[in-house]
Amino acid sequence: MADVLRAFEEHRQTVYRLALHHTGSVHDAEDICQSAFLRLAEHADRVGDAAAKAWLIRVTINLCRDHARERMRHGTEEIDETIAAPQEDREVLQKVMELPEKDRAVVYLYYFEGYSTSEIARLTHTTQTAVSTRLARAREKLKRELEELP
Amino acid sequence: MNRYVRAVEGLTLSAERETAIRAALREKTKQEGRTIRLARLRRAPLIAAAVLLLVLSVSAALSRISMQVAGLYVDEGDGVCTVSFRQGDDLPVHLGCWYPKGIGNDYALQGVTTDENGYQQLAFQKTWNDAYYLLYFRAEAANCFTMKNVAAEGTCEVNGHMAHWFHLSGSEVYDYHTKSLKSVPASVLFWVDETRGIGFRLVRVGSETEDLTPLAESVEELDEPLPTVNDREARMAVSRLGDYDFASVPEGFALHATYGAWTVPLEADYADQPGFVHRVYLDGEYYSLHLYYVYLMDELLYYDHLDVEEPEVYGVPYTTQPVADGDFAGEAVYEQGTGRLLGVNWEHTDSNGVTLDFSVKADRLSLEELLSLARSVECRAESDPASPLDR
Repeated sequence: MADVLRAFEEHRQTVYRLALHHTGSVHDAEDICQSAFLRLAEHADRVGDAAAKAWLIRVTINLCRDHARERMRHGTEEIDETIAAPQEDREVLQKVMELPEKDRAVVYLYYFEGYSTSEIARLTHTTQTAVSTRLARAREKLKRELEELP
Repeated sequence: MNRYVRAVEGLTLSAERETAIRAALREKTKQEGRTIRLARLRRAPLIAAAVLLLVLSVSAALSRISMQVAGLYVDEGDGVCTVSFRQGDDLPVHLGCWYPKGIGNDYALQGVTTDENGYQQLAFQKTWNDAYYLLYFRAEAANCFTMKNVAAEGTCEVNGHMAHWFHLSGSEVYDYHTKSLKSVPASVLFWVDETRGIGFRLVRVGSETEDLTPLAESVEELDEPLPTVNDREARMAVSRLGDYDFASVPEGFALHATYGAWTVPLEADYADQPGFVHRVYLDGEYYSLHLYYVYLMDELLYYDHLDVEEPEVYGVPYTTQPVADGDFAGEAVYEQGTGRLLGVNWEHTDSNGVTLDFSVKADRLSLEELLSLARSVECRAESDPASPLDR
């Protein structure tokens, strides 16, 4: 169990940021972060230290999907506008958060976490082609919209 | 994207929530510590600071197949038993397809696994945690079964054959072949049909104390095999995604099997895999040729169990390079590091607006041969317009 606490110290921000990219809500991202690590505690005997980060990313994505289903059943939730970020960089982050949910997650995993498209494909259980397509689409949209900003 | 990266660095979990999560994890640790002290075996005497190995050997006189049960008890009372099987020299030719005729009507047959590996399992479910599983096997395929949290066990007979039953309190029934691990109480019954050289395992998930003998004695061999999960899912996937195949294959290759899976986005209780069809051709000796077509779901996929394998086309990290051949456009796929040619990918959108990812993978074909095969893929029936695919 000490490994779970260590995993929390090492990966809590990754899990939180990924959940935040999915949900757009600080409160929901915090809840999902807690759920992900509690799940790790339940399955700690099957997850090695080296695999913990990838395991947590997969579980977080699954939990975000459950959250999306609940959100669809109970109505659309407004994107939380209290995301804290340095003002000068907020514009780019806001544009990323306006992308479709699955594109946001891919952008986060690629540009911030530094995963390759093949690694992202494994983590998200899709194909490398799909990941590349989403990245290309996101880049194109961001480039277009950021050029329009004053 | 530097500004984006800087912005994300400013997104951090609040200190208050970090404290709360740490406390929750520590509390979880304490809870797990209490449950580690497992319940003692009800029928075994307490054993202080010693390990007792108890071996029950159940062997039929006609030993085409024999079963051996070994129990290992430790002083904390963690009951663990293994059941292993041995095959005689005279191996049976045909596994057959067996069915528990006495199964209740409210337990629906959910799946039948392939029998290609010398064993087959039928799953009957009322709910996910109230189910029966009938596994039958040849001994060389069975190897060994290990059960934990054995609360009680004993011998009996099934239609005159030697049998052994177990009641499990801690709910772990794990076998290395079907990779299934159930976390509910269970009753288990093993027996052998010596003359047929087949072993059986009947599991009731959801009850620790059920006498499975009557149901076991209703198990009979069917005249015709049941359609397997593979068969059913492949047929469904082909009907939903479209019936695509090579117009012709290289000399010596023949269709070995068609696999597939299909899932309905957001409408099923869970989604296992993306929609895909996988056709496998073999040349009868060593080499294989594969056609995959995959439907890219619009939502990120959800896996109920993290052990579920995704349909990996190439199975290794790879790089791609665009290729074009006349009006065909796609990617050549190369293994990372070695640069070995693995296959060809391309996309195709049918008249219903459904876009599928295609891949052709082969062991020893050249790029020109792969492109020729890719271009030859034809559609015998398009995707079902009534299916809920993203368009």
